[in-house]
Amino acid sequence: MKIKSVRFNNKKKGFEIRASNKSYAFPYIKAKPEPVSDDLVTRAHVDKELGGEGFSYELESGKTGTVHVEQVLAYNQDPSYLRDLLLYKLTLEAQRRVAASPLAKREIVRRLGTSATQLYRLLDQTNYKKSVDQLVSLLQVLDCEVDLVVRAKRA
Amino acid sequence: MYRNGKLIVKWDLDNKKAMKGNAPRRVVELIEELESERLL
Repeated sequence: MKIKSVRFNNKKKGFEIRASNKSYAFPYIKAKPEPVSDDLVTRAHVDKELGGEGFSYELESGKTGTVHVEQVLAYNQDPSYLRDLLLYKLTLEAQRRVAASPLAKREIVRRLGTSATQLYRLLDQTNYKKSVDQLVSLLQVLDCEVDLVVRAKRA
Repeated sequence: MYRNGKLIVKWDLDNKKAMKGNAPRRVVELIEELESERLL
């Protein structure tokens, strides 16, 4: 996700980021080096070296810092970001289970009722186009029980 | 990790796997060097 603009607010002690037609906040306290009262932000810009996926800032002391858009999304608990993270964790678990399973890959493919290509697509942790549903099916084929725990966020 | 403003790889340090993109062997070696020097 590319950042369209970044602004800093030394009174509110935070950055304001616009990306994907949404506005996100990122407090100074989460940035390193942390801008503090006697060393505030003087400049912030979208960082082209990060392909626009981050921003850099400069403090009065001359120190500089960089924040990646994923740090911003994580802080804001962005649903798409969290969904991708869940998918990644499930994929790693599926990879471990497939490696430990006595079932041959051909048998897993047969039980899933799919193709080998599809199985490898499901096991590719860099592929975020698959669904959580497909991964749950794979884990069930691997004789795993998948429990989803829903709990309120901590304050 | 970016090269010329383009994402090469997003690397999972805990599991030593690419989360996005592909990591050529040279990049993996570089990440391992940085880790051993405690720079990551």
